[in-house]
Amino acid sequence: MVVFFVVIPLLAAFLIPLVSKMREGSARVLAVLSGSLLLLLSIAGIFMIKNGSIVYSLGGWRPPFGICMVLDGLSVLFLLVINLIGFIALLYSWDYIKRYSSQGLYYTLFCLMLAGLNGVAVSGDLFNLYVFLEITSIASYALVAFGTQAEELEAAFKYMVLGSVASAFILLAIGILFGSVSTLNMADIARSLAGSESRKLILFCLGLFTMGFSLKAGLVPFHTWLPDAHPAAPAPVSAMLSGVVIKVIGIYALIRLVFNIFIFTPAISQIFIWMGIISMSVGVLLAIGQWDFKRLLAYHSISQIGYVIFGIGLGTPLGIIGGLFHLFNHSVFKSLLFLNAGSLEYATGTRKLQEINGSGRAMPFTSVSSLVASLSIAGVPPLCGFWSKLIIIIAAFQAGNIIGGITCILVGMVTLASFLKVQKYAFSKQAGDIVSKIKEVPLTMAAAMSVLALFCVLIGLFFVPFLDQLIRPATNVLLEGANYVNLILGG
Amino acid sequence: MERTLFFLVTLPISSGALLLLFRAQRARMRFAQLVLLAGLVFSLFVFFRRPNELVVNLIGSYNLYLGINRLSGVILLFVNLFGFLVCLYSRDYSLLKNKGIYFSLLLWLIAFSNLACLAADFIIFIFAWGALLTLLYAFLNLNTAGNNPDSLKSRPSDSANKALVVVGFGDFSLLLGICLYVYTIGTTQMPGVASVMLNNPLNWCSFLLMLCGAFAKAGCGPLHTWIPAAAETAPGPVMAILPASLDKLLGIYLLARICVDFFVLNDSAMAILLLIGASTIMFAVIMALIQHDLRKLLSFHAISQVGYMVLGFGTGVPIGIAGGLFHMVNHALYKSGLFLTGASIGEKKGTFDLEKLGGLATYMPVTFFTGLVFALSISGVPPFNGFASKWLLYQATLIGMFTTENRFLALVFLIALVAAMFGSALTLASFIKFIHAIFLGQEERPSEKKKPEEVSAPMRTAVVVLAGLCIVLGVVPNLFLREFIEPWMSQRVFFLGTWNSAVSFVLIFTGLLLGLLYWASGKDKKVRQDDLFIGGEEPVFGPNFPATEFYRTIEDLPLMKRLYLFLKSESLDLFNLLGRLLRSLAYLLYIFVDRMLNLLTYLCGYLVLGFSWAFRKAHTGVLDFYLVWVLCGLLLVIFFLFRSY
Repeated sequence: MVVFFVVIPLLAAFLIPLVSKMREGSARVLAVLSGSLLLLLSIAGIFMIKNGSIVYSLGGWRPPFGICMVLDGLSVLFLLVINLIGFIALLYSWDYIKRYSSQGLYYTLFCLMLAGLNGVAVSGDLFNLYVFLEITSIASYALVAFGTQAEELEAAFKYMVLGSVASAFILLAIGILFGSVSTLNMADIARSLAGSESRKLILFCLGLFTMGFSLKAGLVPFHTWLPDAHPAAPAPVSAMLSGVVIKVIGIYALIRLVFNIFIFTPAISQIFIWMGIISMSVGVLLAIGQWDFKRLLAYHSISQIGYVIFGIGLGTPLGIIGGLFHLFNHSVFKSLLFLNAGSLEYATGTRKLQEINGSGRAMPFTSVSSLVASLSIAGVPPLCGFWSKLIIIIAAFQAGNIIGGITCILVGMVTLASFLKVQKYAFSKQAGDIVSKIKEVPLTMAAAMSVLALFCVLIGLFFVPFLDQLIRPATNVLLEGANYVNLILGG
Repeated sequence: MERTLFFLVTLPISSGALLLLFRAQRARMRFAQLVLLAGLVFSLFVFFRRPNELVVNLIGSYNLYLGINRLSGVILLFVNLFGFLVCLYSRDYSLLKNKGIYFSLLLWLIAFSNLACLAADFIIFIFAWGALLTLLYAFLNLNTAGNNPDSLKSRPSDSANKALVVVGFGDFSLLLGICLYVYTIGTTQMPGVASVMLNNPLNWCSFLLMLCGAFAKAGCGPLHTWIPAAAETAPGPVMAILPASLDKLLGIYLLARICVDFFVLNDSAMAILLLIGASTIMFAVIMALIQHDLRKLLSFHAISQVGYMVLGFGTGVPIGIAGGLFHMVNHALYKSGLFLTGASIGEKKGTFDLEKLGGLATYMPVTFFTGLVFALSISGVPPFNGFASKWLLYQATLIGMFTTENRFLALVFLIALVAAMFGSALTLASFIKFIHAIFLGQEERPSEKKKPEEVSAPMRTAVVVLAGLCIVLGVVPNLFLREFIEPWMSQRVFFLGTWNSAVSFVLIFTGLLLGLLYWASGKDKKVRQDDLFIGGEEPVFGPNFPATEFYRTIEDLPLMKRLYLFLKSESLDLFNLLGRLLRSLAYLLYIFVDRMLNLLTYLCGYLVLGFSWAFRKAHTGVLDFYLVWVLCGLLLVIFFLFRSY
């Protein structure tokens, strides 16, 4: 069952080049089909783990010796994020990607990226995790460069160089770890490391992992590739990169390792908290000065990821709940914002806020959904972003982290200011010349945006059941880090 | 009997609501009239049952008391009488727009006035008082008809707002005062016998705050300013029921309870009351002298007369208190009569400007004679009721002056006496102008179109009843005193000088009759017209002797000019003062809070943009540079991890 999360997109990625040779349009049908299957599967996953986590051993080899896949609360949360946003992005691509040549390649890469992301989320094995991470990374390097203009190629190159540095350090850490404990199964490593995590070599590994995954997550000071790469990609890919990729191969991998393999020490907590504070402040300050809509959004991604890592870094149950909740919310509204930016670019041909001038009247779906998303990211009640930020801020004050709490509030204010600027220039301002020529985007794109906007509102209104069903199981996995070993090794 | 008292409140309230369901205007009027008649009969019944200090616990254990005493019985009777008469008058008063809501408001007004009279504890009292303020506001917001160009100078909402602020201020002070008082006596039930001495600051505060409430309601200076403003815009019947009668009855009722039942007055309190009374009499009558709008003229007199009542309570002797209460009843009678007279004139002539009116006695004889009775009454001409009560007040000041041992207080008594007498003379002067300008004299530009007629029968009835009561109370004042006022007072009223009004009435009436006979005999019916001759000087006015002209010369007298300038500027008006205070406060807040915050906001904004600029400059886009950052970051992470090792 669990293996289908990887098999379906891999199969789709394999089939698409074959069928698209025969018929151009069949690629997107296949991609959307696999995307919808994955979405259904990940929703089913929520119910499957009601009676406990699921461990799948490939080929029947028991965990310490064979490769295993794990479906627990944390994986389910991330699988839902991946496949929900993935499906919406595929839906959006249906019309959007027609402008590019070689759709077949696009969908192949997209499915490959999905396979890698799902693989990272379910992998119970450190080397497999690295392999899936590389699949995701390489697919996303290619997708960033998909436009093949100078800007895209430069961004992709920068992304690739820095991403490869991170991958190399991660591989180095895995190697050192393997040399030290002679196993790659994550539960087995955790068992071997128990009581010895203060060894210098292990600490060094932890440092390398932290750096590598933080770079993938786009945390300051490892963020420098992100503001180039995210705007350069086609809009649905930007939505995936900002909404999903940085979270799965960055945050998920990092917290899985830190909480379930290593022990969450005060030192690592401090590093997370400070990286969070710095990321959210620097990100938002960089964002407010931007005029390129997608670049502005990319900087906000850095800032919002700062919130996530700050909440999780607090280490308290409430902090982790807030962090994971914000992670989910951010993936919804940030993807939506990137899709909005894509729609504006699709309709007006530009990403410059000054040039888009007041397209609100002409594009009702885009303007309303972007308003919802902007208010969500700025933390205006009762939309989803408000509750997660509120929980993080309360958690910060409960944990006695006054500086962090106040920073969260101030950054929220600057975020609001920044999105007011977006709303004013892109939608509300007196209509410029450009407006008379534009019209609303095609149906699938509008539908994709509307669904995400609906999510923003619904999660905001029903955040309590949402927290109970999804976030709390994921939080428990992190809080009871040692249980991971017992779960997989049956001890 | 006990619980049926409450019908006086519930019946008008429910009927007022029910009234709004009626479609037909006429049905509404009839119904309202019927209810008010029932109220009048019931209050008469209550009065003649002579309930003595009856107290009812209203709702079980909540300690809300309703009750009635000898004084509130009288007030109750007059409240319902005025309610009925004004309702009768309003039936045909055409300048009133939206009569449906008007009759409901009238019923509710009577209901809450009854409740204020019946309240035997402070909570119910202040509740009724608040409801009355709301109703006052609603009444003053009523629009008069658009065919009245004079009333368009200021909007009804302006004067309603002014009344709301000034009377609201008074009500608020009253509430504070009551809180302090309740704190002192420890119960919310109104005391029947004064026990609180004015011997500490707390009691003084409570006394003065409660006085403010009574003064604002009754329209005594310096809380009077809402009355002239209201007079300009409110319909005549509204002025007749509210500032002229009900507000006086209730305000002075409260003053009576304060001065007699709640507090034991000492010399200083008496001096304060006397001085406020005397100054109110004087400045209001001086302002009244120069008015050209008959409604404003009447409204200033409504203020001036309150001075007499306050003065009566300030004397502290039984005859003074009796005089104050008597004057309250008299004033309510003739002042509501005068406002109704004014309303009749407005109804027929469409203007209230004294300079444009004249010669109406021929066309409106009933209105003229009743107006004359009211004018003579208010001026204190014997044998009308105004003289009877003023006579008591003069005696009271004299008694006070001779019995007090305090030199200063004696002087204050003397000032009060002079002010009262001089004020009475000026009132007469002012009402000569009123009668002359409206009923005698000649119209400035006689309108040929149609001659004005007498007002309708119900309107006439209402003013005739009022005028009749003025005469009756003037002829038999002692009877009224014995039956209505003395029962409440603990002492008998002691007279210094006697005045046999019945005999003098007969003599005056005989004299008038003889004069009439002489005139009827036809000896002097031939009229000779001649040129004007004024000591050889050029006449400054035409042959029609405009009444307002003479009073202009008063305005131009050297000292008076200054005084009028000061009074007209309304610089002591509480409403204006409060407005100015709030405006300056708002300005200060704007400068020191708003602008500072604004500056701070801008500073923060520039700070954010500055940081943003700096960070953007740091992002050069050069890959090598970024790689250095990454490595530095790695080193920092490892350093922090190892630091704790």
